[in-house]
Formats: sequence, structure tokens, C-alpha cells
Amino acid sequence: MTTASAPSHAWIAGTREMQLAVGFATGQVIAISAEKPIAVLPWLATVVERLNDVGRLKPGWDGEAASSPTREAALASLRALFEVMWQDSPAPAIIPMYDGGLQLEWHGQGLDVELSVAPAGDRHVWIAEASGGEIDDEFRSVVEDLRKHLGALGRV
Amino acid sequence: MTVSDDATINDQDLLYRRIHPKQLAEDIDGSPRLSSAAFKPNQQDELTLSAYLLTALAQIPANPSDCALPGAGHTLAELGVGDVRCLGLGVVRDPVTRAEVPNPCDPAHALITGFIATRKAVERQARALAAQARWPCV
Repeated sequence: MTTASAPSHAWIAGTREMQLAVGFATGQVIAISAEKPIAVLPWLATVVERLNDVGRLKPGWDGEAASSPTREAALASLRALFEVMWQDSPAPAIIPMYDGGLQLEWHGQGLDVELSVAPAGDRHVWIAEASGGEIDDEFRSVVEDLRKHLGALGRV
Repeated sequence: MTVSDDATINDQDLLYRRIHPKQLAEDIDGSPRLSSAAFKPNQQDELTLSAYLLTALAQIPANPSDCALPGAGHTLAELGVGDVRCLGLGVVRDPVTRAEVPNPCDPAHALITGFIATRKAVERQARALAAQARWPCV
């Protein structure tokens, strides 16, 4: 994954890679050279579309004092997804937070998963399992739990 | 910790919080649901959440539906004051007097107070509020 002031969705000439871009209200851009084409990672196009949707929110988007989502939060979200998503995992809902962070959510099959990403990119995870178990910890500590649950959601 | 709470506001009173359309999540079956992110206070707002108090709206008089900003696609979530207090939070009146963009409901503005200033605690309280809220309610 690279970052640059660049393009929109397009194939990279002479390669089999797809380049996608997420834009922000500040004019910043995250460019993603996907190692696997979108056809292989169906969730990726949806995630990029959703990040573009919230990334361009301007300060005060809530009608009050909310900050625009930060590029750092989007970048940390993408990095987390590339680490924990399976090919057939469902794309998360991507919710802007008032402080410029993002919250990624999956709900279904009695499972609730929230990945909250602070404006500077710090990541925390909350999982409420169908069995009643609950996990609330830093992303790095629960990567395997996330992979397990997002894999199971993908097989629904 | 002492939670700011106005005892003149009855437990039976109702609060209405504006929900921005971008703060709706969805189940994997596509059905919409409130995100707890809509109930996480902004640190800049000193860990409080804006809402509108039904009894104060009635005095204006205004309807809860008047609280939504025109054209913004907001929906409203309804919370019982007693339910909010059961979560260890408080409710105080906070009429807005000099808004940049005045809203007819400004005199009925209130704040949900008492969020605990740790990430885990704030997120737990926000999830509890989202679970208690009736949405969409108007």
C-alpha cells in the first residue's frame, strides 16, 4: 500500500494491479495499489467507496463541532483490514466519529464487532460474541480473534 | 465522581438526539441500526452529548421532529431520562442562546453528562446508550 497525491480507481498500466484512491476534505489522498485484484477481495471496493464517502466530510459535518475524518485514521483502518479480512469477509460499516476517528462495524449472527480508530490511528477492538463472551482490547492483541470472527461472518 | 444532573428533570421525561445519516451502521443482512459512534462524546465538548428535552420542546412549543437540521437527513433517537440515569449519566438543561445557525428547538437543548474519561468506559457508556435508544422514533 502506498500513499501519494494521486488518482482515482484504475488499473495500473502494464500490471494486473488495481489502484484505488481515498480522498479527504483536506485534499489529501491515500492511494492503494492492491496486490490482489478487486475480484479477489470483494470487500475492498466497498471499503474504498465507504472511506471516500466519509473521508470528504468537512469540519462541522454533524451540524456542530465534529472534525473531518483524518487520513491517519483511514490509513490505519485499511492496514487493519488487510491484516484481518478474509477473501469473503463482509465489508464493515464505516462510521465517522466526532473527533476525526473512524469506527468500523460488523453485526450479524449474534456477533457484534467494533474496530475504533482514533484520529492519530490508534486502534481498539470490541467484540461481543454470540456465546456471551466479550473482548475489549487493543487491535494488536486481538488480531487472531478478529480473523476468526470475520472469517465466520464471511461463511454465512 | 460527581455527575452533573438536574433533579428538576423527571425520569419520565424524554430526550431526543439527532442522528446524522453517516452514523448509521447496518447488519450483514443490510438492515440499518444505530452506531454507538453516534453516542460517543467529543472531547472538545467536555464529554457531554447534545440532546433536546421533550418537556422543554412542548413549552416552545415545538415537536421533536423540529430538532433535525433541514436538509441534513437527520433522524432522531429517543432516550428516557430515567434510562440515561440508570447508566450512571446525568441530564442538565443547556439552552442555546447564540447559535451560528439558530434552530427553533435551541431553548430545549440539554446535555447528557457524566461520561467517564477513559476510552473503555466512554465506549461502554456509548454502546449502552445506543442499545437503550428507540430509533427511528419520529
